[in-house]
Amino acid sequence: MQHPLLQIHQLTRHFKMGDRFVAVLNNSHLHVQKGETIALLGRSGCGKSTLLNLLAGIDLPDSGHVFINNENLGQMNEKTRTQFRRRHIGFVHQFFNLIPTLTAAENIALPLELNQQSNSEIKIRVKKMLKEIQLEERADDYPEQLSGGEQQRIALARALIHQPMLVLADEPTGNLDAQTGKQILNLLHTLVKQMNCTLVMVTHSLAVARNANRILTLDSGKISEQPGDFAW
Amino acid sequence: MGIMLGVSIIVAVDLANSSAQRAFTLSLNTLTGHANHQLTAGPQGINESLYAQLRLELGLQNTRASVSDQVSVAGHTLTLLGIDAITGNSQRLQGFQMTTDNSSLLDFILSPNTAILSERTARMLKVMPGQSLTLNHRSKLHQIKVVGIFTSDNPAASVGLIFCDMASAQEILGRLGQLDHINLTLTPGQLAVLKTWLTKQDHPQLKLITSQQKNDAIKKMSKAFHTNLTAMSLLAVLVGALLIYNCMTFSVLQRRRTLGILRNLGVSKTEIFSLILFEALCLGVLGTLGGLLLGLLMGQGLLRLVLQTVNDLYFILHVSEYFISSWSLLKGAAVGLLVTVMAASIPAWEATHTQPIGVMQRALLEKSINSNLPKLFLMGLALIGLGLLLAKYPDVTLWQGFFSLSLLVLGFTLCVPQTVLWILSRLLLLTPYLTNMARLILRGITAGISRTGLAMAALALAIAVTIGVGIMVESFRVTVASWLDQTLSGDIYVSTAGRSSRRNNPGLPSSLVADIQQLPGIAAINTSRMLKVETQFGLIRLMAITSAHEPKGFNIKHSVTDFRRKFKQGKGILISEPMAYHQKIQLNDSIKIQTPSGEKPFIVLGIFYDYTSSQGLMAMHRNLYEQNWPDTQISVLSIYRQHDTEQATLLKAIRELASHHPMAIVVRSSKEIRQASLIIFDRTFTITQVLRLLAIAVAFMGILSALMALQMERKKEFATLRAIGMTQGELRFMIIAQSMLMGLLAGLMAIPLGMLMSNILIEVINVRSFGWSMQQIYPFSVMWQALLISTSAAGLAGIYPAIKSANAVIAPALREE
Amino acid sequence: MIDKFKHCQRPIVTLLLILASTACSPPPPVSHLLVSDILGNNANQEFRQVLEKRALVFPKDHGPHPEYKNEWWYLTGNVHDENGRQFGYQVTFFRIALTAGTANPIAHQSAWRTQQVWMAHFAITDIKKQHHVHGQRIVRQALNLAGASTEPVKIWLENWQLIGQKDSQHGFPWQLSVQDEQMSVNFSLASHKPVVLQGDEGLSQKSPAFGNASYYYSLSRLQTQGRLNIGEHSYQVTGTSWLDREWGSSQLSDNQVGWDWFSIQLHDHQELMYYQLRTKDGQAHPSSQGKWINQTGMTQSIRPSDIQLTPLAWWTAEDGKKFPIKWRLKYPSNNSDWVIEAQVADQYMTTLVRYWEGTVTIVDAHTGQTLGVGYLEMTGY
Repeated sequence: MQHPLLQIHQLTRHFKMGDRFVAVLNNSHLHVQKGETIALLGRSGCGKSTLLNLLAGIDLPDSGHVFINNENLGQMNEKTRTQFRRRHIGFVHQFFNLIPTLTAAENIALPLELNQQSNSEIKIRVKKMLKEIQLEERADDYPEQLSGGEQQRIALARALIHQPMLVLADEPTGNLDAQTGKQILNLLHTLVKQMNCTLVMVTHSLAVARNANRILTLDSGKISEQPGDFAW
Repeated sequence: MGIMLGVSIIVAVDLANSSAQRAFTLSLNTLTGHANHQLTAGPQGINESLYAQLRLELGLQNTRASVSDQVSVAGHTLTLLGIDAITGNSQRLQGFQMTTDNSSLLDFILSPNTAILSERTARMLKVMPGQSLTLNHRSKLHQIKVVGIFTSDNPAASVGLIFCDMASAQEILGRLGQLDHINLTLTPGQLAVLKTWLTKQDHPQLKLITSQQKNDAIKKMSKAFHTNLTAMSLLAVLVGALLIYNCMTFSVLQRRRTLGILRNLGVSKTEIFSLILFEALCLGVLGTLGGLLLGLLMGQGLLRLVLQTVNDLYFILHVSEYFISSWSLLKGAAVGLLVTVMAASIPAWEATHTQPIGVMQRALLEKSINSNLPKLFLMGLALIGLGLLLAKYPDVTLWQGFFSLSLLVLGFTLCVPQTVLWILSRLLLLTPYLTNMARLILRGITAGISRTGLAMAALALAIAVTIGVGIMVESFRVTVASWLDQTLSGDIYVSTAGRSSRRNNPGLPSSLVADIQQLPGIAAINTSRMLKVETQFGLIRLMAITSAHEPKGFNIKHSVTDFRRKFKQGKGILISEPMAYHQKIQLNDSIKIQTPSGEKPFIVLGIFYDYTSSQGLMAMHRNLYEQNWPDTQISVLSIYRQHDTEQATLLKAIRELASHHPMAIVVRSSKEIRQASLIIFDRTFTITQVLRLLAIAVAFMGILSALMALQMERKKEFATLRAIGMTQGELRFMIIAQSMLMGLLAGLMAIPLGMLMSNILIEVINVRSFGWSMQQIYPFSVMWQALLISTSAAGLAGIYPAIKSANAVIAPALREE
Repeated sequence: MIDKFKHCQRPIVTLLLILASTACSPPPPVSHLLVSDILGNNANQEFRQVLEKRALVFPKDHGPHPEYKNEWWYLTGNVHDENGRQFGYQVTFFRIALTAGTANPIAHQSAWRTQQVWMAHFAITDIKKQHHVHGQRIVRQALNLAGASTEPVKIWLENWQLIGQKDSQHGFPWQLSVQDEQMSVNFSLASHKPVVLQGDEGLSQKSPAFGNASYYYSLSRLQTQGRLNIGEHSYQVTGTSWLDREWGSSQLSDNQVGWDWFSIQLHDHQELMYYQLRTKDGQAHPSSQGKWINQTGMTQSIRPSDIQLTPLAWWTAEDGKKFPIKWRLKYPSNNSDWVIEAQVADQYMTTLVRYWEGTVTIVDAHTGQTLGVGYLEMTGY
């Protein structure tokens, strides 16, 4: 039987808030199959981003395990975890987080560079990707010269260029107007599908969530499957 | 921290300097007292009967005789001062109080080899009353009993002095019947009487000068050195100010975000401005206080070095008191606070005068700065040009020199960012061939040019100082070394031991000279007589030489035609370059020298290079000397060996001969002298080396604080890179590499600046102050050392920010707007 | 004959007193002379003692006696110019030996090395201006700067000099030549009376203890004439002076604090010398004594019981010390009842050794008639 691409087991993470500890994740479980797209809903501050960071290995749980492609992130050391992340995970942030000192094309090329791809390979793939996101003519522009939507498109391209197994998106449309947000969302889904990636997207918009295969909610530290209606 | 270091450097250098100055003044005052006139009679001294005549025949009461010389006790150089302890009215020592039991004081007058010391001197020499000191005077040892300890109102003034009664002093110093000075407090009427009386005395050596003249002469002698120190302390102010500026910029930057939010919340510009300034002031006060303390400590160490140097050069200080001048402290504090506030007001202005949202956007700031860079660059160039022009202006004073140096530095600082951008943009043209990592490194520097530019400017400045000073010292050293090679033309030198500022050494025993002449293997012997003579320019060393062998010894700068023949014929004398420079003497001028038969003019035939002193040296042919001075003594023999004679054999033979004589005689090969001279040279410049190190420390702090600021601003960027998959190691490498690149660039830029600086330093300090001209060389080693230092200092400074960034928690930074 | 050894101890004693008092009473003096530290420390030396009477021989005994610790030539006098303008003057030469015996000379010895120190005091009192000026010199006996010799008699401290004539017993007239920045005297001194041997034929026993004595003689009436300059002014003056000569090696005993010394020259050509030693409780010490000298130089000793001395008025110095400057002296056996009064209140010598020394007039207590002039010295107040 094929194992799930992403598996969360008894995951617990506390944060100190003032004097007491608040559990943003409490003994949570989750299985995600390869190719699935998951939308994670929840109130602001409920821990959605923390969950994403745990999945990316940027943050570590207090207890429990995260398995990606059957590999336990918690058992890797910092360096292998970082190397694992650079190979298998793409990350899209709400605030784009482009490197201001690199051009659009160079930003997109970053993961390939880090993965030691050859220069020619990088050139081809970046060019292809720019075409994909229809920003070929902005390749040599710096982030500050681009609009929000354009920046996020570059960010998507950067997250997907190295064909990761898992794409994590943290409110990718949160900082964009509705129209642009929709375009970005479509592009994201298209690319994910095209590259056969698995997507976990954090959002607080039900409308955004509806595009996903599965909708999960995070509430009081528990993840639950929510097919039904929500009164957001 | 930065403020502290900056202030401490200013204070330390200034304190050391003012303490040294004060040591001079105190030393002078103790020796001359409050007298308004002084009688001297050149190096031969005054016959003590003259003193008796003044009192007996003229009834001059306020006359104080003294004899003094340098002695050493347990490695300390002290001044033994012989005074008349009895003559009551005039020997009043200010606030003087014996602390010991008085019963042994009678010995002070009655017993030979007795002395009294001030409490501090006694502590320094670790002696108690009743104990003995072994005192070395010109290689002769004396056991001196300390019969009393005293305190006085001004304890510093008598530190380093060994007080003896005149009788003991004359006996110890071997100066029976002689006095060095008679200090007189004269009324105008007495002055007139004395002047008339003196003209009737057949005593041409005798000179009556005012105390003012006397002090001026000594002060002039040491002026050059103080000029040097002042230059150093001004440089310290500059470097310190830059450091403070850097530090303040950093601290305002840290608050940039908070300030942005405050602006958004509606806090007014002026409120923010004053808030920042107030904070800056608080920081400034704290830092300044710390700096003052640190400076006090550092100053003490520096003072030791300074006094060591001064004594090496002039041998006249007995005071080594660490004098804490409130003026120095004030100066340090003022610079600290002023620069802090000024430094803070630039970023504060920056923070308040951009749009509220703009405050948050780093890129906008960089953009505005970028657009101004060419303008700054041009301004910088203009300043550099002006600075150079000023320095080339004839007769630059020290202050002008410093001003032009400041202009140079300021201009240079302004040029740095543009230059860096230009270099990096050239490098970035290579983009296709660069990895993203390399691009990240290069672009990181250009993107934060407002920070990195400043850091590099500070580093470059500090490195330039080290290069400039390095070139100066190295040039000087090479000049002196080659001069030594040319001057030390003999193979073996024989001279009497001991050196002194005031006295003329006795000559070599004539039997020794005769014996040496009989030795086999000697090709030729040149002799010289060294003594100090009174001229219209004060006491100056005179060297009377024979030249059996053609004297290569003089390295002539200018001369009249056929000077060698004229010199041998006794038509005139040669003088040293510093003397010509300071006294503005030209060829064919005549110099009046006191001879035993009165004042006589001597024509200047040539000017030779000399680095033995900044006070001047004259040379005349032995024949001319003996025509005017009834003196056949020989101070130095320079011996040329025959080619087939082993130097070691000859050296041994001469030493053997010398050992038969009771007086201390030094026999050294020219190589040994050369080494010894260079050791003294290096010791003289120890202080300079220390200041170089301080400059590097400052640069280190500068680049560290700049990197910290940069890293703080790029937190999010680093977090993103980490999220994308950059390992900690890679991030660390990136930051350190960036830092080192900055260091390298700064080092490269420092080289031309350093060369310009060395130019000014040599021109202003050495030529104008000491009167020494020197070949300017650009030693390769100084350059690559500077590059190495700047790169490694920057690399080191990068380590901490690198580690800090790599270990930073990624998650929160990612979500920052 | 009555002894007057205490007088001979004057300066050194006072000096010691000063040193002792500074040692135990705060605050210490701001300025302290090295010389006083040195001079104050020759007390415990084995100097030659005055043990027995001996004939004084002149001119030899006008000269120095270096084997004794202290010695002085003490000149005081009253002079006036042709207009009757009066002046008092004092010139004193002190010789102080630092050590007893002679030190072993060392090879290459400095000419400055010495065992003898000289101190001189000079004062002029301008009675009309009520002004007292004084000066001091301290010099070592070296380089010919100071010393004393006989044949001719010569005592000098730099250019302060007292010089006699050659080839006679006393060498009269003596030339006294002393000049300071503000004043000078150039006097010729000659005695018309024989030498007065004080004490017991010149041996002045200071206390019952054997050896506690000095040799002491006086010239009680030296005719004086010459020039006196003070400030810008110069005066041709005549008058009389008094010379006290004393040498010895002893000092005040423990219960003696000071003395009041009178030298009085009456217009009838008689003189009186009397000193009263005071004890700690302010009483006259039994060793106090004096001499009456008649017109021919015959002398008569005065014991404390012969005389009655009462202070009448006081003057306070700047340093707080109080000196009696007006006295009543009764000498019943001679029918004398005098008021002795300082001609100027402030004749205080603020020298290394501080004391009051000044010119006085002698007035008959009953008739108010001026009988003579003199000098008064007071120490230990």
